[in-house]
Amino acid sequence: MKKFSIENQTLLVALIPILVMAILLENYLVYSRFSDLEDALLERSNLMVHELASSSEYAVFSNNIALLQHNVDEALTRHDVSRVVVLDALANPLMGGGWSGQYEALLKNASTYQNDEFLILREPILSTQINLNDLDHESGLTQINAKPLGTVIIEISKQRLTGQKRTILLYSFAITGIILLVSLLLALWVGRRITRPIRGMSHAINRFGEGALDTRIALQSEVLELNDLAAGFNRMAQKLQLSQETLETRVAERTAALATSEQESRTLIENTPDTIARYDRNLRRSYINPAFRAMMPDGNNALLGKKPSEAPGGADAIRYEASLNEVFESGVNRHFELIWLGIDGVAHSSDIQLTAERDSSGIIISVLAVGRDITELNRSKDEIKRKELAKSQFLAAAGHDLRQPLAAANLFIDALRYTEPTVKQNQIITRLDQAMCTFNNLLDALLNISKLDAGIIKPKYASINVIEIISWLEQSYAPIALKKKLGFKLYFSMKEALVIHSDIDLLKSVLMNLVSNALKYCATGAILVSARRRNEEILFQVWDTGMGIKPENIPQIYDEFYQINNPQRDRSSGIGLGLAIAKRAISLLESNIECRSMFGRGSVFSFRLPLDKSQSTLVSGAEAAPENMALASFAPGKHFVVVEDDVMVAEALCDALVMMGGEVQCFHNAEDALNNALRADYYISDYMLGGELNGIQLLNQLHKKHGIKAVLMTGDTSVSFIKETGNCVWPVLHKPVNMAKLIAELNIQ
Amino acid sequence: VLNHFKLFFLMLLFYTASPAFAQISNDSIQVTIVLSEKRGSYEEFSNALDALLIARHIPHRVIAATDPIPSSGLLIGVGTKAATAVAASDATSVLNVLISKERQLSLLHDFPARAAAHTFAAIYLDQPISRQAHLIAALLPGKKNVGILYSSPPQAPMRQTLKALNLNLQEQAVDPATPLPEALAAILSRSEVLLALPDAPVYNDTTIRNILLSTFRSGIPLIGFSQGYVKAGALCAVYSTPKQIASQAALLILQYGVNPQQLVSQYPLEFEVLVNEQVARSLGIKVKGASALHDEIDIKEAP
Repeated sequence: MKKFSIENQTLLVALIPILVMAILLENYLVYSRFSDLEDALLERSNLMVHELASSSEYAVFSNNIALLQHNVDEALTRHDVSRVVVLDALANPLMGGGWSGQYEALLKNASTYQNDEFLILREPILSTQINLNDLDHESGLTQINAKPLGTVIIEISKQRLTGQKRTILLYSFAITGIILLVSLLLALWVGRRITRPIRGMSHAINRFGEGALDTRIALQSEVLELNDLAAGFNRMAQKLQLSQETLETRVAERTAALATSEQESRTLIENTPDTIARYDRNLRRSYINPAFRAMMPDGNNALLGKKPSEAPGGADAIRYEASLNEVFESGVNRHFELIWLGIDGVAHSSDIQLTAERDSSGIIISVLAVGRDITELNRSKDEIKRKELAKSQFLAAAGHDLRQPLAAANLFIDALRYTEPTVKQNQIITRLDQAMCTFNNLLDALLNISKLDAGIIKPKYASINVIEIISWLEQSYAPIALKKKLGFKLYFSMKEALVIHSDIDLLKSVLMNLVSNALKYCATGAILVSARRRNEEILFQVWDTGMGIKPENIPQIYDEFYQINNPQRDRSSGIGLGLAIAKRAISLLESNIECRSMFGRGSVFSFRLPLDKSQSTLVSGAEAAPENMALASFAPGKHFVVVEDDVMVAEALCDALVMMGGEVQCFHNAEDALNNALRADYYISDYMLGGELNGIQLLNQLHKKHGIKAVLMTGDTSVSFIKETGNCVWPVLHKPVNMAKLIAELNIQ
Repeated sequence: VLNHFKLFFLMLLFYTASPAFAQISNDSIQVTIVLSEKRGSYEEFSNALDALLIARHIPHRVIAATDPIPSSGLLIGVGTKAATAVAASDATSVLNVLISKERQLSLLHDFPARAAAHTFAAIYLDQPISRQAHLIAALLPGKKNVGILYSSPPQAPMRQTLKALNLNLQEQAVDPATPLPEALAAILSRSEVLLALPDAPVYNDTTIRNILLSTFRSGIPLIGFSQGYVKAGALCAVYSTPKQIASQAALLILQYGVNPQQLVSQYPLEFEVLVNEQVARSLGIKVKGASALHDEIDIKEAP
């Protein structure tokens, strides 16, 4: 679309209506004026011809040609009268006779004829009537007045009319022109009043855009809105200028701060003992710091712009360049330990942190290498290792040697018991026994640590089913948790048989230490032990809702004898070697323990062990059915009858079932059970019972009564039992009974 | 003076005869006034006559020329139209008024039975030529040649009458061979005064202006025969008013009552003289006053 300026728009808006109006008005006025003029001419001509006819009456009557000539001459002096013809009653021409024929032809019977050039009028010359009031004449019998005396024909020229018309046209055009001109000027003037300030504003905005923030628009327009606009612009400009100034001040401040900080950094870089170098894509150094420079004589020339293989060179240089390339390609920062020959002619070892440096678009442009000379550090580490090993070897040796007198002491304590001591002495013996026991434990633990440290213990790898570990935890710690009124939950996947490749003793020692610690430091709430598959690993986690560990304390918890909140070294809280042992044990299994904790809320310790892929298979079909069910979800709402003559075992089994949510009736012999047991979902019986009936017989009898689901337990491996079980229909579990196995057996019935 | 005397005589006749006439009229005179038109001079005449007849207890009625004309009694035809209608009717006794002598004669010519019966009379509108001659003599003592224009020759013995007053008659006929402008030019070249006659083809509303203009141009005064001529520009005229004719008609009705066979056509007895002094001044003629002229004519007409 074509674009117009405001000025053009104003012109159009102002001129078009005026033009239209002017043309219409002009047309109307000119037309009406023309018709007025024509009417006037016609009227005047009519008057003239009438007058001539009247005045010629007597001349024609009397045939007075002189008089007629006089009248005609007078008529011809009038404006526009160009020719006069007078005819007598018989149409004989009296005056201007030559034209009469032509006129008559034009007029035919009409009284007027006109074309663009002239107007012809005809008027009969009639006698003037004078009323004589003559009575006798009123009869009208001899009226002779109807006949005209003659005819006057007059030709009126339209030349003057045409002139007048032309003048009118000229004037009206002139007036229209003047109106248009005035409108044009007015519109231009009005347009300018708007465009000039707008142009001013536009200039100001341009200058403002070019950075002249002190630009202001002078408020001079007579158009209110433009003044508002200008005022608005000025306000905006002022604010922008102000903020720009503030910004500049800030930038200046920041720049100064940056310069200071840069100076500081430079000082730091130049004075740091660490070597700093920047490598470009060609692996040439583009920057080295003074520490680096000091590595070689004439460091700058020798090192700047050189590859590591060129200077200082050495056996590791090619490997180092490969590492640098790797960082350039992968963008992953890494460490490199470089061994190089120093000025002093001694081999140095540097731990170099390689950091990729990127430009704004994320492309790696250089690699920063910050190196620290760890020659001394390595030397002291080796020293420490050597000392540790010595310590462990010493401890191991000492431990072995300490055990001999300790065993003797224990024997002596036992011996003391048989010397019939007094009650007082008996108390002392008991305490001594306890002290010896603690000492024994401590010694065991210390020996364990030393064995681990000394590398005496070597892991014996085997396939371990996770269920086995879980069952062991259940048996070992569920009663303790119950006693402390703590929740104790075990979680593991039953969808697949998880088998790890590890050392069971070391694993148990790790879990034992973690779980017992959890139980120790957990006053209320619960403990959860979980084993989950994570890709090719099993993640073991021990959760507790205990007191938690402050973040700053976490690195220390693995130290020997470190105990939180036990600066008095209260022995009842343990000896503080648990986590130290666990850490050492897990590191032997090539893993490590992680700890996360929220102080006051609880902690979680976790470690990973590799999956034995050859053994771990998805459990499927009927075999999987019982496994699909979590241990905890089997018992709730179920009734159990336990028949066991060993009170300890019975109690432990009953506690375990109750803890799992079951309702348990416990009997110590078969007869009691037969008589008193209520109907239950499951029956668990020992083989060897105190009464007449053994377990198989009991279960058979109960089965006869109401058809039961049951499991037989036994610790007996005698030949007679094995013979008996040949006829046994019940599943047999050998003690110590694994809870998971027990439930699995019950569940499949 | 003579005029007053005449009037006195008439009045005397009226009043002395009245009881006897009343008696007679009541029994024998039936007057019907037939009007050509109910306007102007006709109405003026009718009203004047009506008043006089009422005073005389003569029964009468007024009808229009288009109404059925009664056959008995005396019929007064007012104007040419009424006169023509009455002439055509069965009416026995007729007295026409406001009619030119020429018209009355032409009616008698048209209806020959009327002429024989002697009961078809008129009071002419025309003034007697002698009265006109007296007027010219009194008004323009120096002018001898009196011109007349006519379409048909006048009946009256005009030449003798004028001769008696030492005036010469100049005549000019208007006919197709000599149209009015030429006839006028011819007569004006021979006359000192033009006397208009009640000859309608020559003197009418249409022609009068140009006739008057021609006479003015020639410096010859025109003598008219009615008020209208004087108003239109004639120098002078003798004429009778409708009222004067009504009085004369009433007298004739009374005479008819006495002797129904005595109806005789006659000129108007009473007259008026009217002078257009402006015209006289324009023509440069010194004229006497109208009443002086009237008296002079009266004296000259006295027997």
